[in-house]
Amino acid sequence: MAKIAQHFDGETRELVLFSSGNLLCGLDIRQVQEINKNLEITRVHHAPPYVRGVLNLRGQLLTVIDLRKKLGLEMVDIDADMRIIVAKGGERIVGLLVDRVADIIEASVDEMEPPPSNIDAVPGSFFSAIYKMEMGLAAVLDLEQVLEK
Amino acid sequence: MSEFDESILQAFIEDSQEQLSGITDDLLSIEAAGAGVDPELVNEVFRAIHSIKGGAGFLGLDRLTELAHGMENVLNMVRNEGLVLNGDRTSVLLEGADILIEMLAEPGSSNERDIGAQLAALQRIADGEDEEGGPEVEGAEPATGSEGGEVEAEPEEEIELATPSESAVDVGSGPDANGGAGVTMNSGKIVVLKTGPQRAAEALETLDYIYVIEYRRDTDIEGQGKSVASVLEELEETGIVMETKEEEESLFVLFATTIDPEVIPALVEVDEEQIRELVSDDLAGEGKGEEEPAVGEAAADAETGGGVNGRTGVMMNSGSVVGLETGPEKAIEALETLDYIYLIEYRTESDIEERGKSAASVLEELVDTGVVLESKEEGGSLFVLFATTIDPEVISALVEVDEEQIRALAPEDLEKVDGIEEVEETVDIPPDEVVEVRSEGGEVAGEEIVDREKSPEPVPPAEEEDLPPEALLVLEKPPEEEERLPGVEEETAFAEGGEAAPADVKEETPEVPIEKAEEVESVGPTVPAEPVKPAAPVKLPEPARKPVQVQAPATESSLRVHVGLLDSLMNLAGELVLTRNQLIQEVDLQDLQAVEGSTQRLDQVTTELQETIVSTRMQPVGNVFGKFRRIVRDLSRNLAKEVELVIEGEEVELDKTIIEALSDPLTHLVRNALDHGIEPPEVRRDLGKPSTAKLRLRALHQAGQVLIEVSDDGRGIDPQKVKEKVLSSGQYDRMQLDVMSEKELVRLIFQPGFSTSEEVTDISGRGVGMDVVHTNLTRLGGVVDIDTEVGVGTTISIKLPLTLAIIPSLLVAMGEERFAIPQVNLAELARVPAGQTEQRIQRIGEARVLRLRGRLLPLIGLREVLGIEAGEMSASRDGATHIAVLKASDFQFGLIVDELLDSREIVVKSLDRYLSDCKIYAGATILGDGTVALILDVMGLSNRLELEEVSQLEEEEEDKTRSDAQELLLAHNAPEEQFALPVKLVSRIERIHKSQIENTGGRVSMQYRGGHLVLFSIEQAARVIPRPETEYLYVVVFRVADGEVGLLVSEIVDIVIEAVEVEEKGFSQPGISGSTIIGGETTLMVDLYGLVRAVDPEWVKRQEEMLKGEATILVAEDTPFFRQQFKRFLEGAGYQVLVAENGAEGLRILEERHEEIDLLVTDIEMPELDGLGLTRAVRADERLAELPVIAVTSLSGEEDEKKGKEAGVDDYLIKIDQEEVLRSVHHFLEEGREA
Repeated sequence: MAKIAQHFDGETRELVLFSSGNLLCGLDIRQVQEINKNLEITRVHHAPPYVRGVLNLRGQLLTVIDLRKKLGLEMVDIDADMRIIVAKGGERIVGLLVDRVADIIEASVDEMEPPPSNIDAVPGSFFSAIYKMEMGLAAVLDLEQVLEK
Repeated sequence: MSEFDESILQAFIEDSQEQLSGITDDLLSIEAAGAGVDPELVNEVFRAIHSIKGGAGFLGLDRLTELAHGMENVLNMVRNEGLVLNGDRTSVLLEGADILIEMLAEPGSSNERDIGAQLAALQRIADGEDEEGGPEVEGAEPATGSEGGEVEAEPEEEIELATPSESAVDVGSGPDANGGAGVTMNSGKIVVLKTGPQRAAEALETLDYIYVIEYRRDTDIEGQGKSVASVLEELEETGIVMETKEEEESLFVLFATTIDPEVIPALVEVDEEQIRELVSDDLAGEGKGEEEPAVGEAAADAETGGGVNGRTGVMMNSGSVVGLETGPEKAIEALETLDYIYLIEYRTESDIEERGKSAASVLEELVDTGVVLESKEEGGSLFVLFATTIDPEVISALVEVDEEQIRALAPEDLEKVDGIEEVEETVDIPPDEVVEVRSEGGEVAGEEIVDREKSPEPVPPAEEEDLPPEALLVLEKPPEEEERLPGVEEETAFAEGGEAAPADVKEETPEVPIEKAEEVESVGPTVPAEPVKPAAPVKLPEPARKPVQVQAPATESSLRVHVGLLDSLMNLAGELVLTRNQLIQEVDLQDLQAVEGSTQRLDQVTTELQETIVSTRMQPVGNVFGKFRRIVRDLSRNLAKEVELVIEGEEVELDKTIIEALSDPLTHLVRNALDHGIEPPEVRRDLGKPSTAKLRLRALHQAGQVLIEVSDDGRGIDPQKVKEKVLSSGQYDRMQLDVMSEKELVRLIFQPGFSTSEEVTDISGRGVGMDVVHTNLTRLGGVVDIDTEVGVGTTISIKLPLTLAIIPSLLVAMGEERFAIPQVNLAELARVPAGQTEQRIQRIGEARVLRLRGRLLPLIGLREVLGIEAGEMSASRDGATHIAVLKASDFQFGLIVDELLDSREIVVKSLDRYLSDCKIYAGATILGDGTVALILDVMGLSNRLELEEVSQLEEEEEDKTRSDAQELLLAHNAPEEQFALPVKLVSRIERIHKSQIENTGGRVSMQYRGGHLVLFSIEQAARVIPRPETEYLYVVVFRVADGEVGLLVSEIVDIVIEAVEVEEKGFSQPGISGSTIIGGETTLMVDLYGLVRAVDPEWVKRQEEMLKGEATILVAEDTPFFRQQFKRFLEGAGYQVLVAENGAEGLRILEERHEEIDLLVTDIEMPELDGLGLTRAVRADERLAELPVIAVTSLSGEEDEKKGKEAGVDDYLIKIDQEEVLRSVHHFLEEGREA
């Protein structure tokens, strides 16, 4: 994903806004294949702790990463509001389990700033930018970092 | 590389691979045909090689082109000059074909490949030297002629003219790395051009010719009153100027035009000598025979610079470089007595550790067949410099490393010792970087040079080598300078039109001398005796290291599919869409009936679709069988054995993955058969076998699986030898081995570390292999079996599933979670009822074991494996423990699960990289309800078991299992009391309703199979709690004497195998023979005969009348319980019974009362004198010769039975089967011993 440094004035990005713990996050919509409600995740014992399990995505096996865990937040039980953001990281697709999906917004790149070293105790390295909105701040995920093994 | 080129390259590779795939067989046929070869066959091979050459040239794959050219030359001679392909020549061609295939697999690095040896060999054949050894060297000169600055023009020039394409100056690592192909002018001058072959080829699409024209500044330009600009202008009028290059004396122009070679000199007004016509291949630096080796060496030298610490750096074919201390003198010395020197790279992991070797053992092995000059461990590999007599063709097989990892060396390779020291310090480029630069495709030459011009030139190895001496500008330089830096300067001069700053280059570029190729020297007397070496400079500045790489296209990822198959897929896809549309409509209309119809159709279509898709993955097994023609030929030549290979069932199809994975194990089996199985021809003749052995590879369908057999008619595997071998290795003790059948013994060859061959040979038999073969095949879902007969041959058969994509499997549940276990890994299922868990599942230390039919099976709980809950084993709803008995390789264990569900076919999906570390899963599958179930990897699970501990247990348990274990039926009469009945006596168990019981004439009975079955209850005879009235009850049907009776019980609990200690005291009463503890409960042993006799003596008597005998029988039995049993039922049958507590006592009684004893019934396992000893003693006594002996035992196997018969036993029976014993007794008393 192009870092915020490379953009032209007035350029906008569509961001999917969602929450993970207390954190409001954004993900560039170009990296999102779909948002899925299917929460029938099969647990995989011995998997890394941040891997919530695997899911049947129309016949394809989708590994679901618990974004809370990955960001170092507390893991919680699955509830019906949770969603799986099916994200495209390079060749593969991975599911990100998030608490709830809030909105899809048009975000002006001008309003994006480099992330601080940490945001609510989450290392800033997981984010590519901070987007300032009227309602508050959204931390834009650096998908590559999140998908690091 | 552009996408366009990429796709062309891909297409070329696929085409070529296809063409090459048939070549091996064709070459073998040509060899077999000898002089009478079918010219069409030769033509075919020739054409294939020719087209590869053409394509490779076009794509700038220089080494491929060269090699193909060399092969083509030889084939041409076969075609036109009647050259006969003898074994050696065929070998050279076969090897060439192999290398072509390898290079095609990695086109990106093919240009780095050192093919000098092959080219030299081909050239020798072409020159007719391979037999006569006449040293006429053609085309070999340029490589070295220039090196010393000596001018040796004549011979080369001739050849260059004769075969212009070959004389194109190809440089070191390929022209591209230098910035272009070197082109030799007719005058002998060389010009290096940037234009790549495909640009030339493009130009040739519209124009007819490409020339390099040299305008001499003095005569052709200034002398004629022209300028460079005007010359070019003139040329532009009649064609395209593709490139120009200004040098001090001359202007070189690369010119594409339609003008005929005959008129071009006149048109451009230069001397004919100064014009050379090119084909596009020339620009790829195409083809030269002998120089190539020099290239390889040059590269090697370059690598030396690359931070290698030895005195000499030698590059392996794989690209890795090793520094060696050994100098050429030592090598020459070694070559006085030995024929070859190799540098062998053993990868520590794959070649040493995984094969259970150590560096020391590797060296030890090598010493057997040659001299280890030097060894060195470096970067995960062991490098060994090894002098030997072993031929390059077989060395790879001998040392068991990949061909890539072996390099044949000549003393000169070790010679560039001086002048290297300096390099070591200054240059520190890891070898792979050098490789990278060298791997650039010819096509990128243009861009590349631009890149390089921006920075001090990284000069790739030794272009000069190939330059005919006259052309070398460097000759004009002062000798010292030349000696210090010849390569660099020339290179720079050529590449940059003489404008490069040599000083820069000097600083950057250390000297590395280059030696000439050994092959050149060996064939060419024209080669100067002392090689003075030009440098192969190495330093590569950063910018040069981002070359445009020729990506190795992923050839494996494409698959040829028959068009017909695609058509039917298209049809099916259409059907699917149609059905979906119908369904949508029908659902909308709520037309349920129609939906049903469509669903059915959907089912049909999807099934068919699935099958068709699977079949696209299917490939004929011939793909892997085919290569054995070659392997068998090579190996049998090497081993001097005569072998005929018979291949059957080549058309049988298997999944692509399986086919690919099958190759290695089969190779191993074939090698084994050739090496160990098949005897040398002399031996075979002596044995009266045909001297030509038969090796058969066969594939056939069998019950939904594919059976592959490798069989030979060789010496077979002697189980006794295997036994000795295993015994000496200490893996098993004699006891364990004695009880094994011959087949089991033979199967021990699959044990790790086993080797049948008495001595280690070249081809196989190093104590590695069969176990690996076995493991690999098992991993594929295969089952390996071995069938062998000493002196007759060996057949190894492998049963394989058709495909790995869809597998039958068993679903099991752990709580809410479900898992699949592949059916191939499943041996059986076991259920241990709640009441018996303690009895049958035992804890020994940390380990748990299941007692299963006298065996101890290690157990693990899936819960524990998964870490669901630490602690006790899980229980299902009914409290029973469910166990899936799994087989991993040769070893079985039980997996405790909550529930065993059904079995079904599952589609295997592989897991994401996040989960690749979870070794206990083989993948996942999507179940019918859409949820995902993980597939358990049985091998991975088995690794979680502490196997050692368990095998110890098994030993401990052995005695127990040998004692009198018997199968017991557990039943309740009243719920409070448990009874046990010997299963052997039970014919059937029926569940009946209470209304079926009839009470007639004081007798309880039921209608049964058209008659009446008399029924008894335990309480009729014994003082036990009476059976309560229940709606349903069970009838245990058993035989007494000659009739059947039924025993009524209220409930059947289970069947267990127990070695029971029967307590007779206190419990013995009519119908009950004693008590024991089973499953923690006091259990009364029912004496069925006693019971019936007590309740209805009349009935028994009547039945016994029929079997009546008045003979006396001696029963020798050490267990009091059985002794009593025998006595009781034999007496019950009207015989006189004498008893003995052991064999010795039995013998004494026999000796005393031999006249009255009519028959002996003896146990086998007894103290003092066992049953076999007793029987032998009986047979040894004349007086007892006619005495029938019936052996009764609790354990029985073929082996035991055989032993018994040998000792003189007449019948061998299971002791608990009283009915059978009685019949046998009756039989022998009536008939006497059989003769």
